Amino acid sequence: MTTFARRWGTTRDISILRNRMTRGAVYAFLIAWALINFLPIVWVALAGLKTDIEIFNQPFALPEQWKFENYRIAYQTAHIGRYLGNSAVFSIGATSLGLCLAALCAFPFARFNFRLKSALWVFLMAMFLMPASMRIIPLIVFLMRIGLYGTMPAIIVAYATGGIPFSTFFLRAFMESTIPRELEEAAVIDGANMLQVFIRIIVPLSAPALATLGIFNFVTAWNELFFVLLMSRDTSTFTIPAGVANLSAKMITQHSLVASAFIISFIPVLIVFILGQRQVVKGMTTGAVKGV
Amino acid sequence: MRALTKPRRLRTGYGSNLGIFLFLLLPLGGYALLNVYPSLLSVYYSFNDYSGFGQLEFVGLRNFISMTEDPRVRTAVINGFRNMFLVLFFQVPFGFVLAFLLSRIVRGSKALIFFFFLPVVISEALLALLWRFVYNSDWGLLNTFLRSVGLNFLALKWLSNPKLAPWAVLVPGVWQWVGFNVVLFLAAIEGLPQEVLEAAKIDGANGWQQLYHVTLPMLRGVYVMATILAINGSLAGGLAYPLMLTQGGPFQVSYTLSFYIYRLIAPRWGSGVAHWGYAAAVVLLNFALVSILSALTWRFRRGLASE
Repeated sequence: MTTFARRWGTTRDISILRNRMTRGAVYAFLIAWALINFLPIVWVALAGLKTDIEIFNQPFALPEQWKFENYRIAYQTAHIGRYLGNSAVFSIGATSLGLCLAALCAFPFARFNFRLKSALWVFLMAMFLMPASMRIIPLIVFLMRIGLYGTMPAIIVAYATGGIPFSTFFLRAFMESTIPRELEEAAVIDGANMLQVFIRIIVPLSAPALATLGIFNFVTAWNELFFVLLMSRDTSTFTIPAGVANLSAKMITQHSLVASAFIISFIPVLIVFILGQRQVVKGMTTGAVKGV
Repeated sequence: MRALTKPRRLRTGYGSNLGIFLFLLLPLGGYALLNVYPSLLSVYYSFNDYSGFGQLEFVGLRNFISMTEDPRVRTAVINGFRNMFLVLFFQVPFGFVLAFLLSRIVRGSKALIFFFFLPVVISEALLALLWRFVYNSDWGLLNTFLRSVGLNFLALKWLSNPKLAPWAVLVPGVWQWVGFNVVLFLAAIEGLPQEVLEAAKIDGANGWQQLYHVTLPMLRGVYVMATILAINGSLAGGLAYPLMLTQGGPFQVSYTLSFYIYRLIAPRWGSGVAHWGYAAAVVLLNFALVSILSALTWRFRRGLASE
């Protein structure tokens, strides 16, 4: 946390590279890598405004006529609106359900002693090492048997439970280290029961951890491909990544439309990242690192 | 008061066994039903033949025997190790270099991190679409660039040449996660105690000496952690890149474990009948390899820590 405060909060008082030549070289190198990351996206955005012929003949040139209707056609023919809606429902649903379940689970582990506590904990942490692909085939069979395969609620619930071990681990550590017990004791003396303590004290005071975890889980869910593709019966439950994968198989020759579809799907991610860069970077890295 | 007369069962003096049970019921119940049970069942499936419909047919070790004769399994595992090689010898060290350089500059680092980290938050599937535009041999970004600087002989058919295709589907994933390593290392570098660096400076150490004798040794812990993350995450390879760039081809040389598992489970995009028993066996192989690697890297980490 402190390291991030230093990076994002304050400016450093010393310039470390005094030699102008060295500084120029360092900047040139860093900017070159930034361009390698970003120029292809700009290039594809332009390709989306050209005709296919122009893409073939003058790949680097600006479009002769800016064909903005490519974006409209792509949006309609590729069903991007529906995929965006599904992405929102899936990511928000899975993230909020996952956070609720993990908070419910972490509270008893952080505060009480009960039978089988350590055995359950060791088991949960061991399951955490299991790759996601391990459960997928029997899960499909199970959901088919009970008639819920390929429905959005089933996909959300199944995906959300998969994150329980890690999220519980993260929240338990936060609750144990950060939330003072005196508050709960005072509430209990005032007659609060377990549920009231949980809702009035534990959840509000866990907000920072829930936010970090929420961002990590949301970005992961938004980008999920494997699980969504295999848990869908047809394209009606496809999220953006699944829809894009499907699109690339179909529109293999309409390059300008594929390019437009790319940019339309990319813009929401870009906006979220611009607005919350600091939180997203922090959420993604703390999330993954604590997971080791 | 009650706590004095009764042995204190609960640390905080409130809550009941029933309450604890109710709290754990949904999360642990859901986890058991949708994760533990299917994962264990998957092991059982791997000893059976199953087409997705009808009955399971017990076949003993047959799936595992056919796995040893399946060239796609061999290719996928080799590509997993290729990926690991690229990650260990390019992604992690290059991430460190970028982080170190970022820590040396004052202005513009926030904007640069934005561009470095951008690919990490974009989904593989979208980036695979982007890389199709990069790799296209006639008008793709890469070859157009190479031709424009006169390196025509390097403008190759990246995705249809069997020697290049396995690397071509791995490079995008390696590129994508560089920024993640940058942020990890940058946070660690900025967390280093400034006093030590100041002391080294006063003793007359130049920039390189500071880096080699002070910064690098103090960052060993983070480096090991980044390596562990990278090793565990790289074996299965990506799904979107092989799926959307090469479909595993040409001549099945660009299969990764993720892609092959996906192919085996989802027959609708592949070829005909499902072989879910065999798919479960490949899944188990993936799990076994990741477990072995995790165990090895943990030992390695312990060894480093005790040094």
